[in-house]
Amino acid sequence: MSYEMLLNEQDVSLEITARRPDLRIKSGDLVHTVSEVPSVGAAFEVVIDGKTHTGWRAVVGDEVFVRIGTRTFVVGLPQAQLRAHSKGKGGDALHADMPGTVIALHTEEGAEVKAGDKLITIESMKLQVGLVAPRDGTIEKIHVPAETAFDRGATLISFVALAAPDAPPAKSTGT
Amino acid sequence: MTIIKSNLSTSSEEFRQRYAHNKKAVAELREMQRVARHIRPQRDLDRLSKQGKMLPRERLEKLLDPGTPFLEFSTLAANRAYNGESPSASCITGIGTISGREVVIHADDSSVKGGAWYPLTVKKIVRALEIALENHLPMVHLCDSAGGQLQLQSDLFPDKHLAGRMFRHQAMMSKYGIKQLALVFGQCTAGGAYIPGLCDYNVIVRGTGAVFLGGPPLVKAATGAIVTSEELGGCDMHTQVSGTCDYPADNEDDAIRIGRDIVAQWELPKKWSIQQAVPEAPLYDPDELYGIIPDDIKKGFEMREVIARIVDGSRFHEYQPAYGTTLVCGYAHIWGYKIGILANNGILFNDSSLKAAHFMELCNQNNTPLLFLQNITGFMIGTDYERAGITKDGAKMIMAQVGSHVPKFTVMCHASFGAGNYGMCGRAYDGRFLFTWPNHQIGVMGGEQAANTLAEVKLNQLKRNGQEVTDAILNEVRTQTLKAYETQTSAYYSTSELWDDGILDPVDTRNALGMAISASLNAPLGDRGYGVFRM
Repeated sequence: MSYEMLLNEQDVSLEITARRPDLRIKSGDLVHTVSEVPSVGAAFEVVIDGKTHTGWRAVVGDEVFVRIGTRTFVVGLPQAQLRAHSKGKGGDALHADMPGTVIALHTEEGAEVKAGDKLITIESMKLQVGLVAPRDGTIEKIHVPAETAFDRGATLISFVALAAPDAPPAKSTGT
Repeated sequence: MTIIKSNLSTSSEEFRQRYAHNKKAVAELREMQRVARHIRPQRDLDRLSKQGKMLPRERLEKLLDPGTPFLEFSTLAANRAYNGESPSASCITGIGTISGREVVIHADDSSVKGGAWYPLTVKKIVRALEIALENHLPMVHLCDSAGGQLQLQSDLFPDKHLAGRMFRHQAMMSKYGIKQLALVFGQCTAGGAYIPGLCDYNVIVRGTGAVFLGGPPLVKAATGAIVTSEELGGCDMHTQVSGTCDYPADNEDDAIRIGRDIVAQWELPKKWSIQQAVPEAPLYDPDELYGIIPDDIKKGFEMREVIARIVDGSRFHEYQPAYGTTLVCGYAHIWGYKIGILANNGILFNDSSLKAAHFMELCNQNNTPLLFLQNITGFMIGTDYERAGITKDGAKMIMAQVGSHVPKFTVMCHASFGAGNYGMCGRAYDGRFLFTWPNHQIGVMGGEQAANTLAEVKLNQLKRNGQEVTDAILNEVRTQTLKAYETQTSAYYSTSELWDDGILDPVDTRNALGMAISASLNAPLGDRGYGVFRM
C-alpha cells in the first residue's frame, strides 16, 4: 500500500511493505522497521531500526506536528487543490473555456515549452487571461492568430502528441 | 487546511515591473494621506492655537489608549470635491481603543473652515454612525464644528441619508444600548447641537465649548438681544442650569481625561464566539502583493497568490477546487478569526455563480463571516450563457449573499464592473466594511465598452433625425465618455465619494480586516433565512 503525504511541506511517497510483527516502511530505496512503545498523551516512544527515540506530537487541524530530539516535523496531506488540478488536464491541446479574442502569443510553432509556461493571452469580458502550457512538450500548431476572435471550445494551440511509452506514469494518490 | 503553494516568480520581469508600479502608486497614496491629515494653512493653525485648541489629531492621540492601533476610515474622502478645500471631508472617523473598549470615533476638524460640514462630511459622519450601529460599537464624538455649509444646504440637509440621519442613528443607538459620549471642544450650533444633545454622556470645555440652537449672531438678528457665547450656551450654563451637558471640564486635556474615565465605566461587550485559532503571520511576505497586482485593469491575476499573503500561515481550505474555477472559495483565518473567502479568478460563469451561492450557504450554516476579494469584470454574456440561465444563476448568488446572516467584508482588489459588483457584495449590499486598493476601478461597465455603446446610440440618433454622421462627432462622444470614465472609475474618485471605507496600502489589508472582523463580533448575528432562489 503506498501513501502520499507532506513532510515539512515536501511531497513524500511511502510504501508500507509489512505490518506484522513490525511496521516496515519503504521510502525510496530505504526500508525502515518501526515499532511504537504504547504510551499515554502527547509524548511517545518509537523504535526505528532498533534505536529508541522519544518524541512529542500535537495535532492541529489536519496536520500533525512531531518533535523528536531537537527537530520538529510537520506531517500533512498533499493539497487537495493540486490533486484536483493534476487530473484530466495535460492533453494535447489548449481549448478556449469561453469566447474571446487572442491578444498576444508568447510562443511559436515548433517551440519546446515547459508545463506552466505562458503561451497565449486572451481577452474576454474586459479581462485578459494568460493561458499556460498544461504539460511539457512541443507546439505543433497555433490555431488562432493574434487579434482574432474565437468561439467557446475552440482549439487555440495544439501540442505534438506524446509517444505512448514516454507518457509519464500515472501518480497514485493512495487510499 | 493546507499551505497555499505559491507559483510566483519574484525574479521575473513581470514581477519587477508590477512591484515598481505599485510601490510608486502606494507612495502617492501615502503622500496624499499625509497632506490630507496634516497640512493646513498657517493662519488656521494660528487661530486654533490662539483659542487654546488642540488639532483634532492631537486630541485623538491623547484620547486613545497609548500604543493601540487606530483604523481610520476614508482619509481621502472629498479629495476630488470642493476644489480640494475639504481634506478628509473635514472630519476624522475610525475605530480605536479607549480604556480597553473598541469605539467608533468621529472628530470634527476645526482647522478646515471652522469644521463646517460639507455634504460629504455629513455622508462620512453618517457612515461612521452606521458602522457603530451595525456593529454595536460605542461611539465618541469630538465636537468642534461651525455647522453645515449654508451655501450647500440642499445637498446636506433634506434627504433621507443626509444630516437628519445622524441624529436618527444616534437615537437608535441609544435605544439599542449602544453608548455614546460627546466631548464638546468648540461650538455646536443648530443641528450640531443635537450631537451632544442626543449622546448618553457629554463633557463640555469651559471657555471654548458651546451648545446652542442659534448662536449669538442669529439671536441678535432675530431678537435684537446681544449675548455672549458663554452666557448663551457655555459650559457653566449647560452643566449648572439647563442640564444639557453633564460634566464641566477646565480645558481640553481635562475633557479628555473625564471622557476616558466615562468610557471606563461602560460594561465590556459580550462578543459572539466565532471559531478561532492562534493567529500567525502569513507564510509568504505580504510585500510581494506589489509584484502580483497588475499595472493594467484588464490584466487578470491569480487570487490564491493574494490569499496566501493575507491569511494566517497562508493556510487555506479550498472548497470545490475543480468546479467553477473562475471563483476561488474556501476557509481561512485572519488574525485567528475563521472566515470564508470568495475571490474572483476570472469572469463569473454559471458554475462559478452556483458555487458562490452554495459556499455562502455553507458559511451561514457554519456561522462563518464572509470575505469578498473583488476582481470582477462581470458575469459572462452571450447566447450560450443566457440559454444556460446566467441571469438566474447570478440572481441566486445575489440572493444568497443578501440573505446571509453572518458579517460580510469586501476588499476591492482590482476591477469591479457591472453586476459582478453586486454578487460580490459591493457597497450597496450592507457589508460591514469595504476597503479598496489604490489600483481599483469601478463602473457599470468598462470605459471602452461605454464609449462604444454611447457612440452607437449617437449614431442611431443622428440617423433617425436624418442628420449627417461624421467620424468627428462619434469620436467626440467616445473621447468625452472615456475621459469621464477615466475620472470616475478611479479608486480616488470612489473614496472621495465615500463608496468605500478608505483606500488601503495592500500590505495593510490583513491588519485592517483583523480589526474589522473583531469589531463586527460585537453585534449579534442577523436573521437567518433567504428569499426564493430561482431554480
